[in-house]
Amino acid sequence: MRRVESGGQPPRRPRRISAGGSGMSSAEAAASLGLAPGAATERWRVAPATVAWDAVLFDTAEVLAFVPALRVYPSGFRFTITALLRPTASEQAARTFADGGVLGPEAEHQAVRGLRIGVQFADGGRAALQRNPIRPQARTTPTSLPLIGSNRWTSDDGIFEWGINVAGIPKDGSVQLYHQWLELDIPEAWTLIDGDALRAAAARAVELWPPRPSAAG
Amino acid sequence: MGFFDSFPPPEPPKPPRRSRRPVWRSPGRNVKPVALALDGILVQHEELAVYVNGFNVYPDGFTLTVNTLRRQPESAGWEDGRSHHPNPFGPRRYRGGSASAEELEGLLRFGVRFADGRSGVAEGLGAWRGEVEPPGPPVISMHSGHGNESEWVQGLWVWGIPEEGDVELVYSWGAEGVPESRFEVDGDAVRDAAARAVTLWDEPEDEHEDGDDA
Repeated sequence: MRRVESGGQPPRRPRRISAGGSGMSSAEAAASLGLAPGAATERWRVAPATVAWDAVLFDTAEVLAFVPALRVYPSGFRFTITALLRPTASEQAARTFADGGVLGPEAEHQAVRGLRIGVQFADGGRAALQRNPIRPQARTTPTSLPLIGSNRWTSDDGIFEWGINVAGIPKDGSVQLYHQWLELDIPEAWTLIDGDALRAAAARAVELWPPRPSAAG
Repeated sequence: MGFFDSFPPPEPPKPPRRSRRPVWRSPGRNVKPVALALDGILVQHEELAVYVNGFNVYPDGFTLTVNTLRRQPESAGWEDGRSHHPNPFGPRRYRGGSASAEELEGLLRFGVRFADGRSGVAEGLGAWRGEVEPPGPPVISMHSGHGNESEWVQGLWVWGIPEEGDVELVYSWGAEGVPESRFEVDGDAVRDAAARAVTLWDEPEDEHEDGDDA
């Protein structure tokens, strides 16, 4: 089984930028979920609250993809996309799946025609996942929310699981989770994430430890 | 003629194939499970925490995820200064049943108990090798563990859905001073979710392999 673990980036202090949305600066929110450098990362000092979502993103004759649950932090959320290749899938679909439909070779056409994921908040803020590198926003200082990145993924000939991080909890409204996988003839579509459920879960997340003074600064 | 032209072209690599483990040792790959909105903090020390989530229910069992976190020192930057966080469930060499009782005492251990008294303990990845018949449920097994300097995330698979009563998760971590403790899972919620999980297709009978994936 192939496995990719998220790698580290050199320390760099995020620049504070005011941003709407979750009430945090975008730099803080990005750092908090590991989407940008920051030792105050929430995922290492907060126990998230689970929202059972049980959403099917797409279901075709070749592949089924679903998200069982969202793990919600005070300033963002994480989830895992699971895709199953049906036994009835065509050879081409199986090859696409096995070739790494998510993070395979970085050929330009695959970056466009492979599985793409994005989010949009009710206030119009939106972001699309960049395929490779794992932590794209680490390279630049984020300027607005939401932000989206990926972390761990595993895949083989019949299943892949892909971890997605979203920095930002919308103050109002719901979240549209977009997907598209042109190589498998899956056009752009979106699935709604209940914003009230997200906000309630963000309030239920448990801070295990406060940020270290040096990390919070 | 180039150097490499004198050799036959290399065969393309075969797609990676996840080991087929017996159904009692791994959740089905032909099922859309149903998630439970269930979280629990099992341990919250000054520098260490353990919490569980990831309860996904299948027709014949459920997964959960055990997350262990170590608080990072003040000096921690993005990639340096973090404490080493070894697998709290023990190194691979322990996973074939080779650990002594003393070594096992020090590890983070998990077990499961049904209301009728039947129980099982997670013995590690190697425990199922050679099994051709399932032990009696519940069976609890490790799968898909990974970690880094700050955290260890371990998936567990519990095979068996109790007909009645709640499910107890039992855990201890001798090395961290965590005595044997219990976390209760609502049995009605598990049974309801199991009934709603969808088996998408019949999986072909497959030979079990000795691979492990964590």
